[in-house]
Amino acid sequence: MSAGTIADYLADLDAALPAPRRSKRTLLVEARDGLHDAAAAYEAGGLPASAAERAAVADFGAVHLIAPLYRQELAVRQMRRTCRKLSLTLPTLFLAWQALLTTSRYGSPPAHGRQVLTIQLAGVAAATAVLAAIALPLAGRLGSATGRLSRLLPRVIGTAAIVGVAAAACGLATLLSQLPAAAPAPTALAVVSALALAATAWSGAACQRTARLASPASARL
Amino acid sequence: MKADAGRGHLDGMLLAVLERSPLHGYAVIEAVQRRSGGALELPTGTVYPALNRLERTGLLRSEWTSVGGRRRRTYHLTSGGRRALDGHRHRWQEFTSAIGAVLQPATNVSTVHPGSA
Repeated sequence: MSAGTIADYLADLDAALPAPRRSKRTLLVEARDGLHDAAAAYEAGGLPASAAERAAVADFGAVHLIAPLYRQELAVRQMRRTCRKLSLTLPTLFLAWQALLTTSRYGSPPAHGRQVLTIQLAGVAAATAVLAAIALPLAGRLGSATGRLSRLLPRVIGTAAIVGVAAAACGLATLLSQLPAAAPAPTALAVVSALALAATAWSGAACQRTARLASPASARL
Repeated sequence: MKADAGRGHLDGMLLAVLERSPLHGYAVIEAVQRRSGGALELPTGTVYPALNRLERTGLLRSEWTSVGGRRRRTYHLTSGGRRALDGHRHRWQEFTSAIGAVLQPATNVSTVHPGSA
């Protein structure tokens, strides 16, 4: 097929979808296939190729009308990814640190005040992880494209991810301050933890961004 | 017929056209337009996000198959989708019966006056 109207339309649609390339690839490929099928049908009906493409694009609907529907779907999918990351990362890190501390010989128990703080921060982090675990099946089932829950839940999850990561990071910093400096195992685990937490926070921010841009107010046909 | 009238029932219609056999996106659109006699003016681009949403909620499942020599994403109804379709039909039946009964012109207006034998 020649580059032209369909390619332009898909470029515009792509630009209107603020999501990672990987997550929108399937949707855009499917839209491309559908547009080509429609153009082929018009051509089979006697239209010249360029007119067939224009007709297919016109039938598809203007980008500003169609993109919001895609954005809503992408927001829910992003939320599921964030839920998965959050509900897996925090407990895994917690268990890893527990294992490290109980099998290591790192000094005397930490000062009471810091221990309480670490536990409180761990609790906040755990709460967000539990929230994410509960939200995951719920997120998958969001049926209505414009329901209040569809709009609210992605923002809640995005916020929870960032709060959970912040709490976990502070808890980790408090814990590290009680361990001998430059001990190899804790340092390695700290680096891994920092990367995992950063990835989770990034996912949470993406979740909030896609939710904010998937405004159902613009999804009027 | 305005797009509004069709859009609210889009999910039910998509499930219905997939009842008999799996179809890819464009074939779904064609089936809806053919069965509605072309009366619904839905932008075709609305169908793809709807199909994806129906798949995410477990009412459809998709796989990539070969259609006419090209690879296309093809959808089929799940058992949950069949139940949902039954629900759509039932609700539509109730809705049209209720509204239809009210819209019908009044019939058999009584001409018996009170007091007559």
